[in-house]
Amino acid sequence: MIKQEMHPAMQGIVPASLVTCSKNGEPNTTTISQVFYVDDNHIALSFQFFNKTIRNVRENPNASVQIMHPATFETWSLDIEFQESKTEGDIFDQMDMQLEAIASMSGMSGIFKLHAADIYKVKTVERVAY
Amino acid sequence: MTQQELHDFMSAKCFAIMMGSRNADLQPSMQRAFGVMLSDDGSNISAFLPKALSNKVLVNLNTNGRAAITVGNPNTHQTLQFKGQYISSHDSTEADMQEVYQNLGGFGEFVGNVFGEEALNYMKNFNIFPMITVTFKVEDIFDQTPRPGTGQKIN
Repeated sequence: MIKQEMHPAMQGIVPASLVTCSKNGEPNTTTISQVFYVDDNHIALSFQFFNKTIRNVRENPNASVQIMHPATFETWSLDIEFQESKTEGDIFDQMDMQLEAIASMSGMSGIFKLHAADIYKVKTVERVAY
Repeated sequence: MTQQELHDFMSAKCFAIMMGSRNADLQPSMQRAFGVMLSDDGSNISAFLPKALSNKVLVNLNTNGRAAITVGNPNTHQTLQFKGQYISSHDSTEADMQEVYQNLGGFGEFVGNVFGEEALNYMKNFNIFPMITVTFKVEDIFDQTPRPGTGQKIN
């Protein structure tokens, strides 16, 4: 489902955008610094400090994330479903390392802290035709 | 945040803008906007979206009316999220398009500086016209600038 051509859009060079929805139907949008490729059907999002997002996906697992290729600005919209949160292990460690690099690159060193790696199943992928 | 501070923020005209909505099954969806304008009294906000890509958001808004829009200044990282109730939409007017062109100019300058001329040329070739203007009533504003403790309601 996640194609090779999409991988550069998950390097954290261009921030991604995430929308979630509370169980009461209130959408919430936020910018996220890290969309991490887990496998062709799963991604992980960094749980840093977006508390409303964390609350929303635990009461309504549906979310949508938009990622952008840093060289061509090709854009993909992924409908995703929250599955689990990891606070240790390979995925967490790799994300923690990548997040430090992203923070350094964007002048945000010392601000980003990975609390958890939230794993999402990818339900659909749609290329946004700008 | 005072009204003056809010209008100062909005005057930057260099924003990454994302609009969120959701369907009847609580599946959220997102649409990038290419300009945004806050009314003088701060009660309404309008976003300018590519018409050809906005069918889903319009269906959602006409069904349940709930909207959220994140407005982020990439130069300062300062980011606000506006939430509220959909009011109306219309084909973007010439005055609306002036807002779009100003934001594209400001955001384009940022893209050129950070990502280079080639990336800027890709952006200039985006097929985003014609546009529609979507307006909703602002109920809440949240600070979403990336930092610990972010997400606080500020209005």
